[in-house]
Amino acid sequence: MKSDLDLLRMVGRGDPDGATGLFQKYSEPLLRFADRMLSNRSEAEEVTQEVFLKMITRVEQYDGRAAVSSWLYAIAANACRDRLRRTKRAVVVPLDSVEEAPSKETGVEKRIHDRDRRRAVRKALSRLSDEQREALILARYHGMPYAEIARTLEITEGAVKTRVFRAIETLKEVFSEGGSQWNAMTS
Amino acid sequence: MECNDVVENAIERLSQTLAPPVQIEIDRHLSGCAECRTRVGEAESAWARLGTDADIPLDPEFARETLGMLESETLRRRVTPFPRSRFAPALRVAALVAAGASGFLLSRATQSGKGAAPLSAASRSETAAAPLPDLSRQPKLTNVAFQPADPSGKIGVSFDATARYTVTGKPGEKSLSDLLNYLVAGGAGTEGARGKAIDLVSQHYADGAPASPQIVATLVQTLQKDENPGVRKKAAEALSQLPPTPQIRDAFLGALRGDSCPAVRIVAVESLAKVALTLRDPAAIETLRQKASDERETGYVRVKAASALKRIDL
Repeated sequence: MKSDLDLLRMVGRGDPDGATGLFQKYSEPLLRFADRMLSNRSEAEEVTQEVFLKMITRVEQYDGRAAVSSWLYAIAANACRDRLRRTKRAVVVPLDSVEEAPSKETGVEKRIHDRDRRRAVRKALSRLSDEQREALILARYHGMPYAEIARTLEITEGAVKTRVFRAIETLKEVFSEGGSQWNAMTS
Repeated sequence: MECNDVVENAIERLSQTLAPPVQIEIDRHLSGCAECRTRVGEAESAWARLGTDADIPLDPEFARETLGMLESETLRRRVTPFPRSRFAPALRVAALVAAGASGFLLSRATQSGKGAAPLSAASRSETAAAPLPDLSRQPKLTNVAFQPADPSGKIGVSFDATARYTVTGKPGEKSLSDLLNYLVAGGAGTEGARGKAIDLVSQHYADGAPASPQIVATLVQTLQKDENPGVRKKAAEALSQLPPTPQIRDAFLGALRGDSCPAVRIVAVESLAKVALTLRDPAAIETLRQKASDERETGYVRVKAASALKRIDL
């Protein structure tokens, strides 16, 4: 099995299998990252496409200081930040934007229940600053160690620790604001 | 270890394994500090709640479409090197001779004008308060410099015409707006100054200020005719800040169809997507459709066109 670096070298040589290999490995995580950052599936898909196109057009710029995966996440984080800045918007969670994740139980009640819980989490995430949200998402949903998050976001490890800590402090408050409602949902 | 450090490290422990000595220290602290136990418990609970937001799946159609696009982009970038000319060594020698000769002539010209330079500098400082030149006579403004906005939002523009002038004010005020318009329209001697003037115009209209017909016409003309692709791109970005009109839409259509610079076409496709979404404009939609399937176009422009069409939900 080829390593990420081998696949990226193939991209550099103009071999389409390189981009295919990296897309198969990282398209889902990158889509999920962008989806949580922007709370909009169609924009998240656009960002994912942008990441892989930039990977091809900027392959010479990869300097090997961070893992290939971190480089791809860095491109995605920049693309999300650009979108949020360009539209000068805060992340909003419209009622119909939160997609239903596939569920083994197909009961209507269960599906509504899951959707409501997802919506509550997205709303809580939208209360964080962009910087806190991206650090938290990488730590919580992508299991990225703080050192790698630091390399990806080009900040210090201490800054990652502070951002995640503050994000969790904010979320604690947000969750406790809707405490009873939340507990009713999660029980 | 302080209480805040304990909570920070406890959160880090949730996502990964901390070094054993740190874990031992956290556990020791928690066993003796009820407040930290509560705070860590709450943090763990918030962390767990985040887990109820399940991952969205990858749409197979999206994956197919993207993989196709990546393949064509990879293949498109396989550029055949330009064959080396057998006259290349001779041309290089000729270029060196020409460069040497022009350097010699330039140094002679500079030496002969040495006596005039201090006089010119002195005359500029003396006439700093002179009335502004008549822009309708189309003077060439050189040595253009911009001062960033002060706390009240006033910017400064300095330039040489018959003397050194400095104009200050808000970008929306008539005198400054006319000057910026004049600089964008080619009154500035250099591309850098034109680009900077466009940036100032762009920043001003990004705040939703209404645009004058003159500045719109100037930006449109710049997008259509400026020889420098960087300046054309800036003009396109400035126009994209303005509310869409048929004139602006036509400028983007023209840029998307015919501009030789991909960066300009990228701004044009993004702006046209906005126009198509807002106005549901048939001409914009048709051009986007053509671009989405244009094999000669760059992948990024095609993707942008395709996703705009998807959002319009045709």
